[in-house]
Amino acid sequence: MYSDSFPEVVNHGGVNFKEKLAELKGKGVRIHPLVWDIMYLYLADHLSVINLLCGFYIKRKMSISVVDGKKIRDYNRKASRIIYVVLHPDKIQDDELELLKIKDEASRLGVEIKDFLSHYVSNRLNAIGLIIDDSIDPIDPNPVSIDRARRVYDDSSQIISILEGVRKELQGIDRVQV
Amino acid sequence: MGGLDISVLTVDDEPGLAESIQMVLVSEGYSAFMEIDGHAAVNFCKANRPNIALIDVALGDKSIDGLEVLKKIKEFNSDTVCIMVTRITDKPTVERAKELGAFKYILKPLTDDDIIYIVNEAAEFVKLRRADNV
Repeated sequence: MYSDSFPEVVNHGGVNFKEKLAELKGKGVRIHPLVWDIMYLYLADHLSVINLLCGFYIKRKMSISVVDGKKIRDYNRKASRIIYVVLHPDKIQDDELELLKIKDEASRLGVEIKDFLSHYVSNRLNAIGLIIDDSIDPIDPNPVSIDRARRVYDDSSQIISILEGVRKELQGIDRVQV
Repeated sequence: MGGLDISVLTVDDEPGLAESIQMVLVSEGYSAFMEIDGHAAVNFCKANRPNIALIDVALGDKSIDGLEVLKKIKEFNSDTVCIMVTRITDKPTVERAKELGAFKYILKPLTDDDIIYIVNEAAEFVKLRRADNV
């Protein structure tokens, strides 16, 4: 079961993601626009749901209900699948039509960017999965405690910040507003 | 902040996201509604004339996207304050949304703070306009 001493599964290697992004940018590393578009298309929705639900319960100092906990688990699994296939494009299934579009381009992603996504995004999604799965046990599902909700909220917020950084540094796209 | 006299429609083809946004808005005191289909959203607006609409630009339905929803809403009710929600950052889309009368444009991934901030801003605009019309 989860406790305050839940193991730290995210190893950041002591390097701030902004420093790492700057380093990658300096080396001219880019993510192919097609891969970025597909990755971002899905992750933006999945992370929004996770972050909004956790934020809602934390602000009200309530445990996350089992129903919403399952929703977070499901969206986290979808997000994890997207990152997984970006890192391992050979695992894209023939019926994953949208993802098949990126199979060739994702195969060409360099080791450094794959390492970055694995280190800073995939590990955090794994952490969210561990925390939520432990509460939403298939046999005996429980609400997700506020402490755990905060942990998930922090991880999802960090992934959102990281994606913002990737957009800006490696895609050269700034936010624009009406 | 919201108050039940301000109604907000969320239009997003991802049901889980539309529900989550609605949940946040209800807790902030807004009368919040959701549609996951562009055509249904237009019909909802015709019947209910919400004060604010949060519209996803890239709806899954190929027959109508968020910009078209914005255009149709503005045709019969220019008072609905429309906020475009999207992952797309290309300037032509932004310019088109602006031409069609969008109030603001925000990017996914969304946080609760993003949504509350921008909807509160739109609500202030609605209230100011009401005061001007008294």
